[in-house]
Amino acid sequence: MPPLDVEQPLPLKALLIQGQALRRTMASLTLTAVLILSALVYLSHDWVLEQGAGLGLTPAAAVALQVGLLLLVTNFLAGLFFFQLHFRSAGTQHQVLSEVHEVAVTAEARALAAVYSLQETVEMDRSFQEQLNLTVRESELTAQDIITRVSSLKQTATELLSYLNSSGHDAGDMETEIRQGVEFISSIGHFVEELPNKIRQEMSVIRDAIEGIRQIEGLAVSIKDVSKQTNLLALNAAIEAARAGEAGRGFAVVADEVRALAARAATAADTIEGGLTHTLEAVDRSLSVELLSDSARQLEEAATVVSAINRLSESYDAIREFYTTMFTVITRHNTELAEQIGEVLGRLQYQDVASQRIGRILNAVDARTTCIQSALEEGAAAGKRTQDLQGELHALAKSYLEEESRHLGAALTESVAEEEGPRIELF
Amino acid sequence: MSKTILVVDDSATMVMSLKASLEMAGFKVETANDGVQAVGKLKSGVKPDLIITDINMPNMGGIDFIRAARGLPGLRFTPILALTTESQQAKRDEAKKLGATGWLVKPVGGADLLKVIKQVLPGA
Repeated sequence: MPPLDVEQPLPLKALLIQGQALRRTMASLTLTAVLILSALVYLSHDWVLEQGAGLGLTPAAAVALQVGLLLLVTNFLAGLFFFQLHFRSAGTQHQVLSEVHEVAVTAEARALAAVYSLQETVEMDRSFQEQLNLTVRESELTAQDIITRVSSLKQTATELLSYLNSSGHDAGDMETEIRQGVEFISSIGHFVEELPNKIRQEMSVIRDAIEGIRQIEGLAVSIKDVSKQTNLLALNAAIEAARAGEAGRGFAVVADEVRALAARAATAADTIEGGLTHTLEAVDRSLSVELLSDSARQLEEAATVVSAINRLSESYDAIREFYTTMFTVITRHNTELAEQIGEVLGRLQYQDVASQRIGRILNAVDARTTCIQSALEEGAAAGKRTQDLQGELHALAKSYLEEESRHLGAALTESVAEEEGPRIELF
Repeated sequence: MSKTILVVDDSATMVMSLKASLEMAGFKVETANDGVQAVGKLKSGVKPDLIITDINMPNMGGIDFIRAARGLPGLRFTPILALTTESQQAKRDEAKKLGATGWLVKPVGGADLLKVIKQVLPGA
């Protein structure tokens, strides 16, 4: 802003011009009147002496009368002229002074308004300073809160990753144990699977044995027949022995023994036959076809357990793959998250940049407030103070802009940074 | 063993931000709020592998701190990075003359900061 040029009010200027013109007019008129008066005295000198001699006046009295009359007339004319001139001039002066008075009153009102405005500005500056300080403090606290939360976020992400990692390992361990279990159960399954065939084979052997037993049963019947025949034979032998008398006595004893043996053989054959029948009935019940088929079905069902366990093992493979994939994906996202958090933390440094910028503004506002306050307190010597205040404020603005230009690089806009040189420079 | 970085800044936000970024990257971080406090830490036995300092600070500014740090035993070759809002070439030149390793204008993103640290701190 250029220095303040204080101009005089227009009516006052006109008045001053008029005054100067009046002085010049009065001076020239006075000079002209003196010249005219001197010329009249000189030219009318002889005529006055003649007229005076005719009236019986002495030359000195005639000249004195002439000069006196001329002065009287001249003074009257000059007085009349100056009166008229002064009368007009005084009217103009009055009008001009009235206008000047109005201008002065307006100027005073303006000056007072300016002073009150400056006082208000000082008060507002103080309010602004308080609010800006509060804003800086709040933004600082907010930025710190964000840093804490973002750090906690990263911590949580890292813990999640660690959890997934250990879960993956746990799944791996579990899978090994399950695989071993599956192998064990598979061998049992295979055994169970083979069991119906084995049982069938065993049953075939048993049936052969039963057939053998049945043959033995037939043998018992044969023994019983032989025993009957033997008994009859022994009975015939005993009859024949009795006929023979004394000579057949020994033979009769043998015949009795043979009959006893036949009876015992028949009893033994009955016992064998009864035992075999009982055994065969029991085995038949145990190996009934229906029972066997039920057992076989159950065994086949048991065998399906193996395939179920194998499918379970495959499911664990899928779970482990799921964990591995999730771990890989989350690791990648976690890395990206860490990078993003790093950038966010970097951007939060802008709070410090903004805080310093506001600090410089506050310093400038504070200096301006002091400057204005000092000018207001010194008050009355307003003309000079106004000039001083303007100069001081101008110097303050210049100083602020210079200070600010030293920090232009500290901005988020890359275009500004390019003008100020590299943001990152290694020496 | 993780490397130690000394962060010197009068702004609590800056200190927190840098501490969080650097700790996330696996560094051990020591902090100080101005040059006087930082010199005190260095004299009390803190041996940083890298120093990151602000320039405009109360009590002792960054330029004076760099001068003081370079005068301490064992810190002659420790990298010192200035991280500041200052962009004036004269200040950069002064810091360079006093032995600063680099000049970074705030704000610096996490990736950029780690890139610079890897350049000045081999093996980090």
